[in-house]
Amino acid sequence: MPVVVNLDVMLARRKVRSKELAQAVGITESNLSLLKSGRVKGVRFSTLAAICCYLDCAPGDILDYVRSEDDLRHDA
Amino acid sequence: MIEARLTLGQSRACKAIAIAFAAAAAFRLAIICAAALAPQLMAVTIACDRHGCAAQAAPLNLLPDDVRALAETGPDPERVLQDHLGSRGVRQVLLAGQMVIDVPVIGLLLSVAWGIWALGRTEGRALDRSLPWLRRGALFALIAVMAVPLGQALQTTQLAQAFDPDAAFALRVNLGRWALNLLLALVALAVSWALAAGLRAEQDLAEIV
Repeated sequence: MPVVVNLDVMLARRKVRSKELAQAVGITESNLSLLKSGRVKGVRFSTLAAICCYLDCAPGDILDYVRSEDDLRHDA
Repeated sequence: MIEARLTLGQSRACKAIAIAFAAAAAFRLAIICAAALAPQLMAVTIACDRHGCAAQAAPLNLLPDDVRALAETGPDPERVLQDHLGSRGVRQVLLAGQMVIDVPVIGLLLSVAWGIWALGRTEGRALDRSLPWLRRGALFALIAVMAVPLGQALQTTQLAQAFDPDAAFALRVNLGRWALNLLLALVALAVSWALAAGLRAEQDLAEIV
Protein backbone atom coordinates (compact mmCIF):
# COMPACT_ATOMS: atom_id res chain seq x y z
CA MET A 1 0.00 0.00 0.00
CA PRO A 2 2.18 2.85 -1.24
CA VAL A 3 0.65 5.69 0.75
CA VAL A 4 3.52 8.01 1.54
CA VAL A 5 3.54 10.09 4.71
CA ASN A 6 5.17 13.48 4.19
CA LEU A 7 4.68 14.67 7.74
CA ASP A 8 8.37 15.28 8.34
CA VAL A 9 8.42 17.61 5.30
CA MET A 10 5.49 19.62 6.68
CA LEU A 11 7.09 19.75 10.13
CA ALA A 12 10.26 21.14 8.56
CA ARG A 13 8.31 23.69 6.50
CA ARG A 14 6.39 24.90 9.54
CA LYS A 15 9.47 24.63 11.77
CA VAL A 16 7.55 22.58 14.31
CA ARG A 17 9.20 19.93 16.47
CA SER A 18 7.73 16.44 16.72
CA LYS A 19 7.39 16.75 20.48
CA GLU A 20 5.40 19.99 20.14
CA LEU A 21 3.06 18.47 17.51
CA ALA A 22 2.56 15.30 19.55
CA GLN A 23 1.55 17.37 22.58
CA ALA A 24 -0.77 19.57 20.50
CA VAL A 25 -2.45 16.60 18.80
CA GLY A 26 -2.64 14.43 21.90
CA ILE A 27 -0.69 11.37 20.74
CA THR A 28 2.56 9.97 22.04
CA GLU A 29 5.88 10.91 20.47
CA SER A 30 6.52 7.25 19.66
CA ASN A 31 3.20 7.02 17.77
CA LEU A 32 4.01 10.25 15.91
CA SER A 33 7.41 8.79 15.03
CA LEU A 34 5.70 5.64 13.70
CA LEU A 35 3.32 7.79 11.67
CA LYS A 36 6.19 9.84 10.21
CA SER A 37 7.97 6.68 9.13
CA GLY A 38 4.77 5.19 7.65
CA ARG A 39 4.89 2.15 9.95
CA VAL A 40 1.23 2.35 11.03
CA LYS A 41 -1.82 0.53 9.66
CA GLY A 42 -3.94 3.66 9.67
CA VAL A 43 -4.53 7.14 10.96
CA ARG A 44 -7.77 8.33 12.54
CA PHE A 45 -9.57 11.24 10.88
CA SER A 46 -9.50 13.03 14.24
CA THR A 47 -5.69 12.69 14.41
CA LEU A 48 -5.33 13.85 10.80
CA ALA A 49 -7.64 16.81 11.42
CA ALA A 50 -5.71 17.83 14.53
CA ILE A 51 -2.39 17.64 12.66
CA CYS A 52 -3.78 19.69 9.73
CA CYS A 53 -5.24 22.22 12.16
CA TYR A 54 -1.95 22.69 14.01
CA LEU A 55 0.25 22.76 10.87
CA ASP A 56 -2.31 24.79 8.89
CA CYS A 57 -2.30 22.43 5.94
CA ALA A 58 -4.54 19.93 4.09
CA PRO A 59 -4.46 16.10 4.33
CA GLY A 60 -2.95 16.00 0.84
CA ASP A 61 0.05 17.94 2.12
CA ILE A 62 0.76 15.14 4.59
CA LEU A 63 -0.31 12.04 2.66
CA ASP A 64 0.56 11.14 -0.90
CA TYR A 65 -0.13 8.08 -3.06
CA VAL A 66 2.19 6.25 -5.45
CA ARG A 67 0.21 4.15 -7.92
CA SER A 68 0.50 0.37 -7.57
CA GLU A 69 -1.58 -2.30 -9.35
CA ASP A 70 -1.26 -4.46 -6.23
CA ASP A 71 -3.78 -2.15 -4.54
CA LEU A 72 -6.55 -3.53 -6.78
CA ARG A 73 -6.08 -6.96 -5.21
CA HIS A 74 -8.68 -7.22 -2.45
CA ASP A 75 -6.67 -9.72 -0.42
CA ALA A 76 -3.66 -7.44 -0.27
CA MET B 1 -2.33 -3.41 23.97
CA ILE B 2 -4.97 -5.18 26.00
CA GLU B 3 -4.14 -6.72 29.36
CA ALA B 4 -6.21 -8.95 31.57
CA ARG B 5 -6.74 -6.45 34.33
CA LEU B 6 -7.78 -8.79 37.10
CA THR B 7 -8.11 -7.59 40.63
CA LEU B 8 -5.78 -9.08 43.21
CA GLY B 9 -8.66 -11.22 44.51
CA GLN B 10 -9.51 -12.48 41.03
CA SER B 11 -5.85 -13.20 40.38
CA ARG B 12 -5.61 -15.26 43.56
CA ALA B 13 -8.87 -17.04 42.71
CA CYS B 14 -7.44 -17.94 39.27
CA LYS B 15 -4.37 -19.45 40.88
CA ALA B 16 -6.51 -21.43 43.34
CA ILE B 17 -8.68 -22.72 40.48
CA ALA B 18 -5.54 -23.64 38.51
CA ILE B 19 -4.22 -25.62 41.48
CA ALA B 20 -7.58 -27.43 41.76
CA PHE B 21 -7.38 -28.40 38.08
CA ALA B 22 -3.78 -29.57 38.47
CA ALA B 23 -4.80 -31.63 41.51
CA ALA B 24 -7.62 -33.20 39.49
CA ALA B 25 -5.08 -34.08 36.78
CA ALA B 26 -2.84 -35.70 39.41
CA PHE B 27 -5.86 -37.68 40.66
CA ARG B 28 -6.59 -38.96 37.16
CA LEU B 29 -2.93 -39.95 36.84
CA ALA B 30 -3.29 -41.91 40.09
CA ILE B 31 -6.30 -43.70 38.57
CA ILE B 32 -4.15 -44.83 35.63
CA CYS B 33 -1.52 -46.10 38.06
CA ALA B 34 -4.24 -47.91 40.03
CA ALA B 35 -5.53 -49.49 36.83
CA ALA B 36 -2.00 -50.68 36.07
CA LEU B 37 -1.42 -52.15 39.53
CA ALA B 38 -4.83 -53.52 40.44
CA PRO B 39 -7.86 -53.11 38.15
CA GLN B 40 -10.25 -53.88 41.01
CA LEU B 41 -9.19 -50.59 42.65
CA MET B 42 -11.11 -48.82 39.88
CA ALA B 43 -14.32 -50.15 41.39
CA VAL B 44 -13.66 -48.80 44.88
CA THR B 45 -16.47 -46.60 46.12
CA ILE B 46 -16.40 -44.51 49.27
CA ALA B 47 -19.64 -44.64 51.21
CA CYS B 48 -20.24 -42.21 54.06
CA ASP B 49 -22.88 -42.38 56.79
CA ARG B 50 -23.22 -41.09 60.33
CA HIS B 51 -20.59 -43.60 61.51
CA GLY B 52 -18.00 -42.24 59.09
CA CYS B 53 -16.70 -43.10 55.63
CA ALA B 54 -15.54 -46.47 54.40
CA ALA B 55 -14.10 -47.68 51.10
CA GLN B 56 -15.74 -50.68 49.49
CA ALA B 57 -14.38 -52.66 46.58
CA ALA B 58 -17.18 -53.86 44.33
CA PRO B 59 -15.63 -55.07 41.06
CA LEU B 60 -19.05 -56.09 39.74
CA ASN B 61 -19.87 -52.38 39.56
CA LEU B 62 -17.47 -52.16 36.63
CA LEU B 63 -19.85 -54.30 34.55
CA PRO B 64 -22.69 -52.90 32.49
CA ASP B 65 -26.11 -53.54 34.04
CA ASP B 66 -27.17 -56.34 31.68
CA VAL B 67 -23.90 -58.27 32.11
CA ARG B 68 -24.03 -57.80 35.88
CA ALA B 69 -27.56 -59.21 35.95
CA LEU B 70 -26.32 -62.21 33.97
CA ALA B 71 -23.29 -62.63 36.24
CA GLU B 72 -25.38 -62.56 39.41
CA THR B 73 -27.37 -65.57 38.22
CA GLY B 74 -24.20 -67.69 38.31
CA PRO B 75 -22.26 -68.96 41.35
CA ASP B 76 -19.84 -66.58 43.11
CA PRO B 77 -19.62 -63.88 40.38
CA GLU B 78 -17.05 -61.85 42.31
CA ARG B 79 -14.67 -64.81 42.40
CA VAL B 80 -15.13 -65.36 38.64
CA LEU B 81 -14.38 -61.69 37.99
CA GLN B 82 -11.34 -61.70 40.29
CA ASP B 83 -9.95 -64.73 38.44
CA HIS B 84 -10.58 -62.97 35.12
CA LEU B 85 -8.77 -59.85 36.38
CA GLY B 86 -5.82 -62.03 37.35
CA SER B 87 -4.96 -62.56 33.68
CA ARG B 88 -2.16 -60.29 32.46
CA GLY B 89 -3.76 -59.79 29.02
CA VAL B 90 -7.03 -58.65 30.61
CA ARG B 91 -5.19 -56.21 32.84
CA GLN B 92 -3.31 -54.77 29.86
CA VAL B 93 -6.54 -54.22 27.92
CA LEU B 94 -8.13 -52.58 30.98
CA LEU B 95 -5.08 -50.34 31.37
CA ALA B 96 -5.25 -49.41 27.68
CA GLY B 97 -8.94 -48.56 28.10
CA GLN B 98 -8.18 -46.44 31.16
CA MET B 99 -5.46 -44.57 29.27
CA VAL B 100 -7.81 -43.91 26.36
CA ILE B 101 -10.23 -42.40 28.89
CA ASP B 102 -7.79 -40.52 31.08
CA VAL B 103 -4.98 -39.23 28.84
CA PRO B 104 -7.20 -36.68 27.02
CA VAL B 105 -8.83 -35.73 30.32
CA ILE B 106 -5.41 -35.19 31.93
CA GLY B 107 -4.41 -33.10 28.91
CA LEU B 108 -7.60 -31.07 29.32
CA LEU B 109 -7.09 -30.55 33.06
CA LEU B 110 -3.40 -29.59 32.74
CA SER B 111 -4.03 -27.23 29.82
CA VAL B 112 -6.83 -25.46 31.68
CA ALA B 113 -4.72 -25.37 34.86
CA TRP B 114 -1.80 -23.76 33.02
CA GLY B 115 -4.08 -21.38 31.11
CA ILE B 116 -5.86 -20.17 34.24
CA TRP B 117 -2.57 -19.89 36.12
CA ALA B 118 -1.20 -17.71 33.30
CA LEU B 119 -4.37 -15.60 33.44
CA GLY B 120 -3.86 -15.05 37.16
CA ARG B 121 -0.35 -13.64 36.69
CA THR B 122 -0.43 -9.88 37.05
CA GLU B 123 2.60 -8.91 34.97
CA GLY B 124 2.60 -8.61 31.17
CA ARG B 125 -0.03 -9.69 28.70
CA ALA B 126 -1.68 -12.44 30.70
CA LEU B 127 -4.46 -13.14 28.19
CA ASP B 128 -1.94 -13.61 25.35
CA ARG B 129 -0.15 -16.28 27.38
CA SER B 130 -3.33 -17.89 28.68
CA LEU B 131 -5.36 -18.19 25.49
CA PRO B 132 -3.25 -20.81 23.63
CA TRP B 133 -3.47 -23.10 26.67
CA LEU B 134 -7.22 -22.63 26.98
CA ARG B 135 -7.57 -23.43 23.27
CA ARG B 136 -5.50 -26.61 23.78
CA GLY B 137 -7.79 -27.44 26.71
CA ALA B 138 -10.84 -27.10 24.46
CA LEU B 139 -9.23 -29.39 21.86
CA PHE B 140 -8.45 -31.97 24.56
CA ALA B 141 -12.08 -31.70 25.73
CA LEU B 142 -13.22 -32.49 22.20
CA ILE B 143 -10.87 -35.49 22.03
CA ALA B 144 -12.03 -36.65 25.48
CA VAL B 145 -15.69 -36.53 24.42
CA MET B 146 -14.84 -38.93 21.59
CA ALA B 147 -12.39 -41.10 23.51
CA VAL B 148 -14.20 -41.70 26.80
CA PRO B 149 -17.04 -43.89 25.39
CA LEU B 150 -14.45 -45.87 23.40
CA GLY B 151 -12.29 -46.50 26.47
CA GLN B 152 -15.31 -47.45 28.56
CA ALA B 153 -16.53 -49.83 25.85
CA LEU B 154 -13.08 -51.43 25.69
CA GLN B 155 -13.10 -52.01 29.45
CA THR B 156 -16.66 -53.24 29.80
CA THR B 157 -16.27 -55.61 26.83
CA GLN B 158 -13.13 -57.07 28.39
CA LEU B 159 -14.83 -57.48 31.77
CA ALA B 160 -17.99 -58.92 30.26
CA GLN B 161 -15.90 -61.71 28.74
CA ALA B 162 -15.45 -63.08 32.27
CA PHE B 163 -19.09 -64.21 32.14
CA ASP B 164 -19.75 -64.33 28.41
CA PRO B 165 -16.67 -65.37 26.37
CA ASP B 166 -18.51 -64.36 23.18
CA ALA B 167 -19.12 -60.79 24.39
CA ALA B 168 -18.35 -58.48 21.47
CA PHE B 169 -17.17 -54.88 21.51
CA ALA B 170 -20.25 -52.78 22.20
CA LEU B 171 -20.36 -49.01 22.43
CA ARG B 172 -22.79 -47.90 25.12
CA VAL B 173 -23.37 -44.16 24.99
CA ASN B 174 -25.83 -42.01 26.89
CA LEU B 175 -26.56 -39.95 23.80
CA GLY B 176 -28.09 -36.99 25.62
CA ARG B 177 -25.16 -36.58 28.01
CA TRP B 178 -22.61 -37.28 25.26
CA ALA B 179 -24.17 -34.67 22.96
CA LEU B 180 -24.21 -32.12 25.80
CA ASN B 181 -20.50 -32.76 26.50
CA LEU B 182 -19.75 -32.44 22.79
CA LEU B 183 -21.61 -29.14 22.57
CA LEU B 184 -19.82 -27.78 25.66
CA ALA B 185 -16.43 -28.73 24.17
CA LEU B 186 -17.36 -27.06 20.87
CA VAL B 187 -18.52 -23.93 22.69
CA ALA B 188 -15.22 -23.76 24.58
CA LEU B 189 -13.32 -24.05 21.29
CA ALA B 190 -15.49 -21.39 19.63
CA VAL B 191 -15.02 -19.03 22.59
CA SER B 192 -11.25 -19.46 22.39
CA TRP B 193 -11.40 -18.60 18.66
CA ALA B 194 -13.54 -15.54 19.40
CA LEU B 195 -11.11 -14.31 22.06
CA ALA B 196 -8.15 -14.85 19.71
CA ALA B 197 -9.97 -12.90 16.97
CA GLY B 198 -10.69 -10.11 19.47
CA LEU B 199 -7.03 -9.96 20.46
CA ARG B 200 -5.94 -9.79 16.81
CA ALA B 201 -8.45 -7.00 16.12
CA GLU B 202 -7.21 -5.13 19.19
CA GLN B 203 -3.61 -5.48 18.03
CA ASP B 204 -4.60 -4.14 14.58
CA LEU B 205 -6.38 -1.19 16.22
CA ALA B 206 -3.28 -0.47 18.30
CA GLU B 207 -1.42 0.21 15.07
CA ILE B 208 -3.85 2.98 14.10
CA VAL B 209 -2.74 6.28 15.54
